[in-house]
Amino acid sequence: MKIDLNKFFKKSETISFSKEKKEGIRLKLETFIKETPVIVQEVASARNEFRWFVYLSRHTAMVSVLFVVFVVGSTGLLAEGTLPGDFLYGVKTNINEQVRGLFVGGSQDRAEWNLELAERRLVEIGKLSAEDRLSEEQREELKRKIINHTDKAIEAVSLKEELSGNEKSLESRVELLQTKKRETTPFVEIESEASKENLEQVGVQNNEEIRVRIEKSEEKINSITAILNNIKNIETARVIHIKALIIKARESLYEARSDLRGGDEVSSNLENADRLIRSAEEIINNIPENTNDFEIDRAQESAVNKSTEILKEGNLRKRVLEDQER
Amino acid sequence: MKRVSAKIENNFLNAYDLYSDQIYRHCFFRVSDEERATDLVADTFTKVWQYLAQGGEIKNIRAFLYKVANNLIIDHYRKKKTTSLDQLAEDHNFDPPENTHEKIEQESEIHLLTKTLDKLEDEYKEVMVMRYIDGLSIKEISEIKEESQNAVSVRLHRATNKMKEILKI
Repeated sequence: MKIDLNKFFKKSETISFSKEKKEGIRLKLETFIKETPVIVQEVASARNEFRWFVYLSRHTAMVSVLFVVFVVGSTGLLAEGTLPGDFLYGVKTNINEQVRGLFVGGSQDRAEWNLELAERRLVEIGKLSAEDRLSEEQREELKRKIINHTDKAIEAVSLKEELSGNEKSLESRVELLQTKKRETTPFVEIESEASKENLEQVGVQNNEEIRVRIEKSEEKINSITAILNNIKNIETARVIHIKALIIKARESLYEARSDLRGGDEVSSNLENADRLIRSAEEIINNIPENTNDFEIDRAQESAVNKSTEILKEGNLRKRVLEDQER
Repeated sequence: MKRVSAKIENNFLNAYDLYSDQIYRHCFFRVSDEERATDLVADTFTKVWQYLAQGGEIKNIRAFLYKVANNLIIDHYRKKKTTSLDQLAEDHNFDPPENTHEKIEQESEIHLLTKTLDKLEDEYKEVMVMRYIDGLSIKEISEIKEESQNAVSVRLHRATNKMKEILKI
């Protein structure tokens, strides 16, 4: 039987809706349209006349939240520059810093955050001391906080274990890394031009051989990445540790200056200041050289300068005392 | 605003007058069931109105109607299998039966057409109905199906071959 496909389909045109059914559905649709009118535009026109009123009434919650955020944000910002004893100092330490601390995750970040807190307390000691309103209680409290934060920073990076376990092998790890890089380079090049023609051009014919070689190169690349990450972590931990030591040294120096400026028990204060300066110097001298960290080198230099400056101040004060005794 | 609303209503009812037959034919050849096809037409236009009433915008009403009908047909297939087309010759509701020789011949040809289409896989049946019964262009089918024109052309080519094979042309 021969059938023309176009003619064959042409017969479908004889199929149509019966007039009764078509009219029936139309009537139902007309009723449905009346029951479900287009309302979107009408709502929009009503909104035009009382736009602000409607907006505010519908967004009361949002406006309230924005207001609270504005007030809290402004207070928080004002509190940032306060010192112990100021009205908003509690907002700075109990709200601003606590809230920021909630968003700190990971041991490295936690260590950095604790160092920043220690630095903040240190700056506060400096400012109070400069304004000559650093009380004994405040000094002890801030000192306790600094020790606490620096200890937390060191604890967060588990520095002792990492350094003792890996420091010796650091050089050998770098050497291993360089060897692996040399071994892997030709495979990486092959992988990057992985079309069959290119592989044939470099003399690799067998598909299985190519697969094995690429797999091996992938393994090597993964191990290199792992080693690099490990080295990076160790380096970061080391930097954090040094930063913590410098902060402790600076704290000793501030304390020494405070002792030097104390008026009543002059000789005992001098002795105390002398001891604190030696302690700071010892810490600074024990910091390893060539850290390759500009920030640390600068902090170390600043601590040494501060130490010299305070020593000079101490010696001058000693001479004044000796003259007075004579 | 009332004027805009009335205009939308008017356009929608005009679209019904113009395209309801085509949508019915499409549904009929897809589901091979006259009653179900009628319900699908009603459902299609109801859904399109709901979309318009909620502020939806339609650029090409014909393509949109096919898209909605197509989705409803897919739902229909999900719910239950189609009834056998062997009973189709016995159903004459779509056209009042007349005992003329010409009419009997016409009905038997439609029976053959639906029976042949029913032997095709649904993805082939769908494009054949859209292309040859609904008279939609490849571009329109690709828009309705949200597929590339190339994909539609390939499927249509395969469906035509399959149909020829069934009809032994």
